[in-house]
Amino acid sequence: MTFMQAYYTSCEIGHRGSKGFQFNAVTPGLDPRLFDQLERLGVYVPPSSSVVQPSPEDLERFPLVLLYQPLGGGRSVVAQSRYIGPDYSGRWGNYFTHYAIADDTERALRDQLPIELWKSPAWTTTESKQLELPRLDEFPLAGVIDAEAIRGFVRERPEHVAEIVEATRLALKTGRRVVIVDEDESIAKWIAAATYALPRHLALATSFTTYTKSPYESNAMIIGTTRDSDFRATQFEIDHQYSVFDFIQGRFSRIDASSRFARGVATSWVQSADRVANFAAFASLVDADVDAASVDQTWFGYALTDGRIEDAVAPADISWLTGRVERFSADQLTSVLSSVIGGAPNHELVEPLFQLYDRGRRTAVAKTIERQMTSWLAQLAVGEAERYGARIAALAPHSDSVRQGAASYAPQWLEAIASCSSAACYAALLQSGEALDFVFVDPRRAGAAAERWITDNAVQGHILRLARKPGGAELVNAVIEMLRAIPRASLPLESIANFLRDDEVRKATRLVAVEHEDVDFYTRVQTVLEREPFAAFNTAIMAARNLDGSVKPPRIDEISLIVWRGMTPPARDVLRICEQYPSLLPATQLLRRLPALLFDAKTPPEDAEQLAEVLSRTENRKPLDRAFYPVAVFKVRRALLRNNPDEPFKALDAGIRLLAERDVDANATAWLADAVSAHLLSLADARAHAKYLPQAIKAHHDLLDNYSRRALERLRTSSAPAATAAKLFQIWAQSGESGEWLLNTVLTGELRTWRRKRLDEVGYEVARAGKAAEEAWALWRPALAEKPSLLGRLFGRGRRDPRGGAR
Amino acid sequence: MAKLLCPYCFERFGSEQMQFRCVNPTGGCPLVPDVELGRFLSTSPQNLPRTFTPPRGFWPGVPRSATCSCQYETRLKVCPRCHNDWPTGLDSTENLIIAVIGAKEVGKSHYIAVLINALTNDFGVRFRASLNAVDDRTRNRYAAEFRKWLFEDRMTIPITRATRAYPLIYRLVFEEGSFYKTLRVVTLVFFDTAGENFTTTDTLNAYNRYMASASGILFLLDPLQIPAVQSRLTTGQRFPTERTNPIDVVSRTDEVIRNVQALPLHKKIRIPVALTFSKLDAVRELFPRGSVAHRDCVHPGYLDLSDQEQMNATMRSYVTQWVGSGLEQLVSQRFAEYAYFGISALGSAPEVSGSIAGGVAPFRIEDPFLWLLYRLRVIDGKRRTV
Repeated sequence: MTFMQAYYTSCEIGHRGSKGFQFNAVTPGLDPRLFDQLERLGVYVPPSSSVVQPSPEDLERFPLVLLYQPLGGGRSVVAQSRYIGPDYSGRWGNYFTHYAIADDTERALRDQLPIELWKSPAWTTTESKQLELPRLDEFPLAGVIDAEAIRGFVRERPEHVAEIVEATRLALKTGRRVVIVDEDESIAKWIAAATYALPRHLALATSFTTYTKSPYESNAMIIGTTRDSDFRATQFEIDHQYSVFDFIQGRFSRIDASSRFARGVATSWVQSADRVANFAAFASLVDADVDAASVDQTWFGYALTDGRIEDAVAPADISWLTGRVERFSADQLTSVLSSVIGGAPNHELVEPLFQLYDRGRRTAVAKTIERQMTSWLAQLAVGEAERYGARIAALAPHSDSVRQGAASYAPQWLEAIASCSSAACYAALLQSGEALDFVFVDPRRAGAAAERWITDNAVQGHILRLARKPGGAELVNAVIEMLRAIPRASLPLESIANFLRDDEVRKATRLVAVEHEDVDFYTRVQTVLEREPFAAFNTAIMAARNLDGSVKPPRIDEISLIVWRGMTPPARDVLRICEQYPSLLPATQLLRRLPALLFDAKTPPEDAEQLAEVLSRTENRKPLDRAFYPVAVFKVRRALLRNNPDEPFKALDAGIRLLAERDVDANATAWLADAVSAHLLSLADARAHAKYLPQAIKAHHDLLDNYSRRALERLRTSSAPAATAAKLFQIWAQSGESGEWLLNTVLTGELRTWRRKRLDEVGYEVARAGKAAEEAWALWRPALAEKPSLLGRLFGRGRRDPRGGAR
Repeated sequence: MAKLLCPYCFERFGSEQMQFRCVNPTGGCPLVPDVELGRFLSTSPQNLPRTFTPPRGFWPGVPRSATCSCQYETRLKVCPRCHNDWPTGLDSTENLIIAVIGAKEVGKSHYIAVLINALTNDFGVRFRASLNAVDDRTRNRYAAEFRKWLFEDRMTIPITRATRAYPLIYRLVFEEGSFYKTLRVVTLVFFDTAGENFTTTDTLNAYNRYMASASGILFLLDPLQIPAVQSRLTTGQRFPTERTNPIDVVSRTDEVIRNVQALPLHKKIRIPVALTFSKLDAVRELFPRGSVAHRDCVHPGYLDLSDQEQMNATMRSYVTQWVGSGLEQLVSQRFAEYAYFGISALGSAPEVSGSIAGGVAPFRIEDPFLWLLYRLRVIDGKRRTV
């Protein structure tokens, strides 16, 4: 690919067909639509202060224009414009612009940069006598602009290198143009200093002109000009509108050149020209499409490859690397990774590095990455497992080399897992340890370390997963051994029920229990595992039978204590035990605890009754003797509390009969008396009272006498409403013969002991009950009369009949 | 309401469309790519302070200032079409665009340079007027490209570049009335474009569309480019290498104006046209002694109509001799108002090197310009009573 050429000057022969400024000659095929654009680009206006009638030597001192402008579609133009003084007519003001237009800039320029064409011998200022020009194959270089020359130039002026580089990057990124005021050749060298450092495609996107009289009308990103140009350089322009570098008058825009790219390029120019020049090659290799905004990253990547990084690596750098990892050679990547992960792990970098590792595994440089990152991963696994366990676990299984490479870190890992400070840490260590095979180096130690963390679901999950791996059983056994060894109180097995239900864990539990002949532990586990305690009890008994050959009463006690956690088993379970082990039960301590069960409100009455029957049949009465007394009491109380109108008196019957049969002691009698008294006072169901009380009185009038007295005593001292007491008397009075007996024998004597106030209250209510309470009132009147009120005592008058009758 | 005409892009727009550019010196307003200006300059958009159209106020016309969203009050107006800075006062004064048209080497730049110099100096005294550049661009350009060469270094002005150029904009202020004095302000816009731009209709269309919006057209014609003149001259002259037929330039101009104004052929163009033959000093020998071509005229505060009519008649007759009646026929058919003039900007031919050793001595340089002002009713014209 070659350049098409065009000459533009004020001449007599040209493409306009008349005299004057025109294209003197062009290469055939040059798009005529470009003419206007080229004409505008190539205009040369001499500086205001230039000599009016310059000699040939003066002409040499006029600023030389080398301009470069992309034209779109891959086309571009490089041109040299030079002031040549008079034209064919002798008038001053003529200039000659030699254009070189490339259809494919990249190919036409080959490895050259446009600025390198500065003063190339290929440029001419001589008109062509022909209207057609040949294509230009190449531009021989003048040698003025090359990397070494620029390095020499820059080293003498190090102050503004970084700023100009950064300003150029800004121009590409934001469109803020760079204006350089200096000698033309210096401007060319500044442009070279900036564009050499850019990736090639960005350098080719950087338009420039080494001189223009009016920077405001220039289309270039980097605009060279002279002190006497139209550029006003107002403060606003310097501060905001342009990046100004006026080396003549010392006016400079404030450019923040702290970017790594700008600083790196500036430093590199001082160190080595090749280092700057090689960046373009690096960029084209790994980041061919980098834009101006991201070139900072690319430069940093470049710096990483030779280890000359001056700044800390940022996550964005690693992300950048990840996106291009396949474009790095193995050597470059080795160098880069060494730079990044050579030091202590930086937490911010870890995640991006993992992504790099992920991405790198699929590339040709996978082995390099793995080798580099293996030890680093192992470090993380030990030191930062909690943060990165999951990530390591996700990565490492893909790579045997990682596991092999990390093996030397296993002891440290074991140390870490033994001393970890949280369940999450332990879980993460298990994760990473699993991935890196550390777990299986010493599974017993790893399992034993689970003591404090086994209640954590994540930990359990990891252990269960490991249990299914080769070598995992040993870990689980270690965990079970640990569970067996720790005190019950410090670790309720219920908290790890799900864990214990796992098949592998069950298996391990059985093995451990058998190995240590530890029915106790086994029972504890079974208690957790079985839905019903009785089932756990049974399983444990069976296990004990297998171990001991037979089941002995103490074992039953032990097992029941474990299964029911020291509490008395529920009546239902007790009954089932009684059914299964009838001969053993009397010898157990369990039996002694059963009476309490009878009073447990949770015990269903039928169960309690059945249990009482069982107990009553027990041959070994000795431990039960005293327990039998409350049995009957229970039955009465139980029945009384139930809301069944028939039941109270049946239970009363049964209780009274039991008491009669047995040689009851005083306590049992008192309990029963309390229960009956309470019943007698209970008016919850007056109808039931009316129906059954006579029957009860008839059958057990002796006992009821006693109980009635107790009831009256309660009534006298209690704060029961007087109306309630009145109603009680009313019921008794209506209970026919039995009630009459009750009233006559009990009340007449008792009422005399009542306090006058209470007597008044209750009597008043009895009297108010009207005709229905006639009989009761009849009994009451004498009592009241015997105890007149204070006024009655004073005035000899008794209490007024509340019914309005005579006293 | 009359529309405003931008002197750069020649687009017309209503005064309410006038835009302002925020020039907040603190940079509080972010710079934005100015697409319109980039389009005008044929460059990629530059980052410039934003432009905005202020809300319509109670009073008609362009407000003197506007407040940007950054709360900065700006007075910098820009054309809403091309975003070029709007010359101060252009929206409130009478605007006259004077198009100086001519082929290559006829001396357009020299004429403009000398005319502006004359208007700045002697003219002011006679007409109680003053001429000032309205912006720095005009000031700097005139200083660097005209005055420096002609009046400081005494050299001919270099070749005008054949690309788009900004106009020279001046404010001409007349003092009127004798007792109660008032000021009349006229903005003059001069276009100095390269002769190459008049060689084809295409280039005329591209670079000289302003002609259609011009208030007056001044055709500069170089008699030395006319073969008949060259053959009649006896003194040794350096003739221009260019030989452009005046009829061609007038004809192309007519074509462009009619295109832009969509003016049918049967209607005459209303823009007054001054057909001005330059370099009169070089062809003076062709005129008889006593002719107006031999004597200068100083217009005493008004256009000397007697002198102008004489000059017109004289030049008309000579033009017919030199180029035949074609030019006269063409001009009379196409333009409603026209007159012939003869001038010399430098007063003598420069040396081969371009040096003007004797300095600039303009001859009748004001005539065509004053005639245009007269036709445009800016100044009075009177017949001199002898």
